[in-house]
Amino acid sequence: MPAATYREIEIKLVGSSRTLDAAFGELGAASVRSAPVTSIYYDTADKRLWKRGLTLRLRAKDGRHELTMKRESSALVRGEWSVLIDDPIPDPGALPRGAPREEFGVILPEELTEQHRTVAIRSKKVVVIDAASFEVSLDRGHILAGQLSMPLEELEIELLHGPEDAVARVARDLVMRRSLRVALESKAARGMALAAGTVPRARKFNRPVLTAQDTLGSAFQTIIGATALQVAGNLAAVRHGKGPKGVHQMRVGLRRLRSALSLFRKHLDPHATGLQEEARATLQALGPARDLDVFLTQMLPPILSAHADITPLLHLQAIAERERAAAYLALRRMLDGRAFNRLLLDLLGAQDMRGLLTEDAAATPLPKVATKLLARRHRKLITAGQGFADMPLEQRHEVRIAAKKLRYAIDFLGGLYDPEPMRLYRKGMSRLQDDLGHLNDVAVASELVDRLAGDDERAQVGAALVKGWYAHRLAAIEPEMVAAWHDFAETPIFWKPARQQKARGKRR
Amino acid sequence: MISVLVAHAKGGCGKTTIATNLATAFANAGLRTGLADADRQGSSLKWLKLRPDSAAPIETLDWRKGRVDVPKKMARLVIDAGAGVDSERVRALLKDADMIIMPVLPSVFDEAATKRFLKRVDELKPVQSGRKPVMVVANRVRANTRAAKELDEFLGSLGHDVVTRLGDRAIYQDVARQGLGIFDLPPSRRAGVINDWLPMVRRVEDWVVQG
Repeated sequence: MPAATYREIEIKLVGSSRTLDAAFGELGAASVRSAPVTSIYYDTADKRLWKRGLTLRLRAKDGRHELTMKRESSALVRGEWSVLIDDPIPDPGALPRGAPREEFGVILPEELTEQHRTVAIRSKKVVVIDAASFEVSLDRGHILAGQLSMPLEELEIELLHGPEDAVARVARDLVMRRSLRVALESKAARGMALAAGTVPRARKFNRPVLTAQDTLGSAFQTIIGATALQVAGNLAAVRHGKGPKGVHQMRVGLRRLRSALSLFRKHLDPHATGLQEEARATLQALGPARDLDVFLTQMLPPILSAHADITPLLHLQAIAERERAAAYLALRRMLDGRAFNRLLLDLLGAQDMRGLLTEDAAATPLPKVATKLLARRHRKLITAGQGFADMPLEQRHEVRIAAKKLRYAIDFLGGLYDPEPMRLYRKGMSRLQDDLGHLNDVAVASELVDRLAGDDERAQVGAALVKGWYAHRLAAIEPEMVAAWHDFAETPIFWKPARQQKARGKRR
Repeated sequence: MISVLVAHAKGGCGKTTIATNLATAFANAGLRTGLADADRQGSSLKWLKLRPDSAAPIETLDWRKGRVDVPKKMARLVIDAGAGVDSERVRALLKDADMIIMPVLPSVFDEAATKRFLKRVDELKPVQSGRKPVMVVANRVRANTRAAKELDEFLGSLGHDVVTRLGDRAIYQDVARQGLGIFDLPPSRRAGVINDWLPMVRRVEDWVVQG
């Protein structure tokens, strides 16, 4: 059997017990089987499987034992390799052909120990909705790791047969009607976190791998998929709310998504604008939490450690911390809400993003278009930066945005080009972007401190200190920023202008 | 592919036991495994002929008359160098291998041969540069015995540690007679020897898989 068949397509939904019951009932009349299910998760002492994004699970099934390896992913589609065995021995060697053995090599059953287990009552039924069949399971129980335990209650919808996007459609229907939200963290991931006492990590962007053989359609699919994973992959970290990285990375994911949609806008079908709008609204909702994070973790600390009388600053800090707590609360509410969960399902569920492109565009070879797209982003940036040294700050923000757009386009499409010149170009851009980013942080912080201080006189003193500090800093880095711009503007581009490429082709 | 060369100048020190059992560890992990026999006596080949069809498959490579190409998709290769190999032969075989496993016996009669062989192997370029490690395995010896201690001291004086010690156990003969290795047995039946093997298996695997 080809390896491609070893995968599961599944969505988990969570909500109140009553809502989950109602949703389970609503998914169709079928005979329901309820039974206790215990799943034991194994790994080596040094977590050799988990480090490779793999999990190994053993559970009793029909008088035998089912050994299952899965690949962790925030996507709805996961690699899954399962085998029925007679004895409850977690031996990766028993997994079927196609299991990713080359990735972990020899792992003997003697090296594996239980990491955690889930003990639940599983109510299960098979339903048919719009010619697709699903196994629907309602799990109630606990995840256990040694003496530690956390509750488990979720509705799982797994595609048995039918089009790949059917699961997301069914889930979307439920999310629109009931207070349910999408849960992306696997039981394995929750168990490992429980056992290790760790918090969910923020995820960075994985630059997509595109080749000259890609079409516009396949490239678009890959790029949107990569941005979707950055958004979805940070959900757990954002919900957990410890540390600023989750919110930051989720915002970057949404920005990249918007940037990708705008990069390909000439080729987009009109109904793609809905996605663009949903992403924009979510991005805005994440804004206040991010601004306060930046202020409290980056902007304020250097002033606090440099000033002698910090009372007004501490006062301002206390106000900011209260505001941040409120912002995170609002954020969590947004993440539980319909709009966000619909966006998530739209992003993860669309197995074929090519539907968002016009038909002609989807089949166009990528390289030709890619060069044009990069050239367009580049031209816009160069135009925006005309007279950089003397332009007012507001105008520099336009340059910052144009630079970001070019940078994202390079992250998406850069793989098509010679890596060394591309790397150098990106490096040159980073310096400019760092300076421009700093400029923006200062602008945001200046507005923020005024708002935070309000009529509070003590806080106003703190706000003035912050603004004074950064006005001074900006003046100090100004020559560097101007130099960074000029260096960048003179950096040779790594893509070849379309005309040159053609001429070269002819000579050969 | 990970490839392991099992070699020593002297015969009867357990090369074939290590080569065949290691091959069963790889094969039972579901990895495509080959066992190349470069030994004139062909002990590994004889063992392969005994191997039942129901056991995890191990592909035979007969290298007695010279190297034979290894199929591209092979995941693990074990090369049984055979007795009486000189450093030239090891150098040639090492081209196909990522590391050398060298079994030694806790016998004073073997010390001179071990010393000579180890010295020559250590001088080979890929070994000297650290690219290809030499893993010494003490065979037919128990931990915490005088023989084990003397062997450790002897090897220490040559600048080598023992990766693991394999006890003198009847199980190796029992399974070999059926063309099997201990990794063909369920965990309950290999419990007495598995800890002897784990350090070796891990060193071999981690050298390439994690590196």
